[in-house]
Amino acid sequence: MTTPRIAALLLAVLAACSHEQPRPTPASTPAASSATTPASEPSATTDSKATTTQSGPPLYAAQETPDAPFRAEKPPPLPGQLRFAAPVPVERKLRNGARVLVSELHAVPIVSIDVLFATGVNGEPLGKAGLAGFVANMVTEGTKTRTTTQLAAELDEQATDLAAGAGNETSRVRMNTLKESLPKSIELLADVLQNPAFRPGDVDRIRKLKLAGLAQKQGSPGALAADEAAKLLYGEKHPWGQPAGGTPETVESITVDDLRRFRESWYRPNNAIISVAGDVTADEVVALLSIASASGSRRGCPSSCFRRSRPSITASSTPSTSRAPPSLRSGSWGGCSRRATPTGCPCWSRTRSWAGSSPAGST
Amino acid sequence: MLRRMLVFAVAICALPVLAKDPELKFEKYRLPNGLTVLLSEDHRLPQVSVNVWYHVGAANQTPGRSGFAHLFEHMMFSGSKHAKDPDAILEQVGASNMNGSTSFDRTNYYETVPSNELPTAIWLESERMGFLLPTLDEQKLKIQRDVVSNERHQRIDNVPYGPTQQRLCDLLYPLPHPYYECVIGDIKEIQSASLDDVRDFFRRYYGPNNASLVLVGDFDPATARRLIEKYFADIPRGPEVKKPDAKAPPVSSVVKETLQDRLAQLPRFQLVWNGLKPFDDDEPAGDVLSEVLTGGKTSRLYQLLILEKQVASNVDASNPALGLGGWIQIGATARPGHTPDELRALLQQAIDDVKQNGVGPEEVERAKLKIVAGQLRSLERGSARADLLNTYEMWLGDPGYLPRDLARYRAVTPQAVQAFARKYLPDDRRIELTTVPAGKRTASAP
Repeated sequence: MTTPRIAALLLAVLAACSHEQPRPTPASTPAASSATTPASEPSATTDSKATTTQSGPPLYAAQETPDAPFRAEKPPPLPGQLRFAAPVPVERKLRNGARVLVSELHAVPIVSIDVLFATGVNGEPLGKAGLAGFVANMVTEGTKTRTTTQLAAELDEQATDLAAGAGNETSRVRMNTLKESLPKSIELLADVLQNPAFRPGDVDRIRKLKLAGLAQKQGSPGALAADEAAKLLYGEKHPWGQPAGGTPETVESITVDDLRRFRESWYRPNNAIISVAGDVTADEVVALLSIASASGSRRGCPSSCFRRSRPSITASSTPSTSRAPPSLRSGSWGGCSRRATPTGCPCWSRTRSWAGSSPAGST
Repeated sequence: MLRRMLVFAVAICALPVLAKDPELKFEKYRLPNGLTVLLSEDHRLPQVSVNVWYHVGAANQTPGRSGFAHLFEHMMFSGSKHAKDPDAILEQVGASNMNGSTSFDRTNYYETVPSNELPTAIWLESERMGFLLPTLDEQKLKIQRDVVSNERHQRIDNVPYGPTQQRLCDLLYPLPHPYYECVIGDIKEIQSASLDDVRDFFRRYYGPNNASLVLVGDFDPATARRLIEKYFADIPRGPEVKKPDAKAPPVSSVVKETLQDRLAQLPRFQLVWNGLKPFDDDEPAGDVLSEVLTGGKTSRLYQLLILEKQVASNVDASNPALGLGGWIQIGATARPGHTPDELRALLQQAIDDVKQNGVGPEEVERAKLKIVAGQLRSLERGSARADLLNTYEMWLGDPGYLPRDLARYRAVTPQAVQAFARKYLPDDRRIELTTVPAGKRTASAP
């Protein structure tokens, strides 16, 4: 939420005059800052344009590089086969069901951890566009024992980067830390995953920032075009057909309960892949992750909880009413069963209805 | 204040300290024609990043030719005597990360190729350096003039707050300063560039003695030396290039401007001062101050404007150091319903606080660590290491400067940060830029 737009702009002014045209920003970020509407007059330009040729020191003797036959065409490749062994990650499983993939890279004392949940915008109920991104923003805004500022301060003390975001099919919480800080950083990551606070004051503050971002989006024609394209591709009733980041109306309508429910439904170990790359061994990082994930309750949710539709992505002509029970098994970061719904787990059956008249997965 | 103190009380625990800084290993030599070569082996992946810096940028432009260094960079992709379509050749050999960029002070060209295709990358870079002119023609120039003009629309004119940032260059660097109109330049001037301009610029600035070639990756040094000798040694030395030395009149009063922006939806306010040259002794303190003010959620301006008062949607500060003198900027973008005046008052309050009361050691330590960690992260990519070697070579003639670079950041004290603010952020000599949404389409408060 800090400065991507301005930073990008500064870069453009400073040095970013690259030879290739910038590619459009992906639509998944709210208020992405590309642009296609009529240009504003640069109020900045002046008109004192001299059109003389270059002046300066006297011209050099225009010596040419001698041509040589070997320059005439592309040289052949060097002899020998390229040796490349694609890194094969070590795969482990935590007791709570989360898959862990570890790839060791020891060149720089940095470790990167990417926790991927296999649900993103496709888990948003109709009328709640922007929910997945909202949840992602909220999980890094503080935990039950750490306020926004406390969490940020503890991360900054370690120079640890923590960010979360949602795409069409995934929600991701990513961390990048110095090797020395790995134990502390994993402790913080686990707290973020297990105990996000969703304090109403924080939710309201982030909501206002999101609304500011949506207002800014009106000045980014590229983002508006991407929204339009998504609507045409997927239709108005499909989660992927909604404007990226939602609309002011949907963002206003998202409640703390919506946020909690989404998090509790999808931010689960058995819906997660934890990828680790960096200056660490699999044993080290799995040990740390195991300790961190053991602090919460390991009680799983009743499997009945999952007897509902997994978000199903189909074109709008075939509304997502898939009944196939998901392969999700029970599992918990620790927080799930404490906020039990009557069925023992938060379920979406009442709200998850994209197009069908009957709630998806209600049988 | 109290809130901030609490934050730090909670957060003080053992700061991580790196046992040993990574080193950038390299060998350096120079060809008789003056080309500097830096070789840095890294055999983890079967690829080589090739990165050429020419020590020429907007700083070398003449009045009436804003944007020319960048336009010229585009011409270097338009083909040469033996390589009509360099991009296609690179794509055929599986190259990645192929591009170039122009800044105020330098221009670079780079690509990453599979190890066994190193000869092709060397050949193409030698084509650029030695054989651009034979196939240059008006049609190629026309195409690139239009591409670059469009790039300006895309990157500046059609981006919220882009015109404001452009205006900044004009205020800081009035004509005949070469930074006038920033790197991207004025479209009329871009359109007026001639073939003679291109030829002259090439002969004047693109000799091997004004360039450094860096290889990072999986290569055999003896083979690389042989290839570089073969393709570069007979490119004739160019004229000696005089170091740019244009001076801009320093900001000597408070300059206030308000700009209407058709794309911006929210007001923005920013303060700008004259800044530094790269590797100035005061640069680390300035970077630490930027980090203390706007680096993440614990930063002073984020805490004050976004968390506490909730008047801003964004805060930012930066300290770009440039060869002819950079600038320092601190800015904020409003939240719907809030005004530039509110932002201005709070920015002023935060700056006054630093000047009067200084900054805490915890803040400074945290900022320093984040800066150092950022530098380490940048070392993960071979292409970034290549740029870093070239940076140190160009400004300091010392590609192995990394440990000392990190050390100068580690040495920053709270006193230095306070002194920086007092010295470089005077209240009576600065630019105050306000950007407001044009017309009546101001976003309404929720």
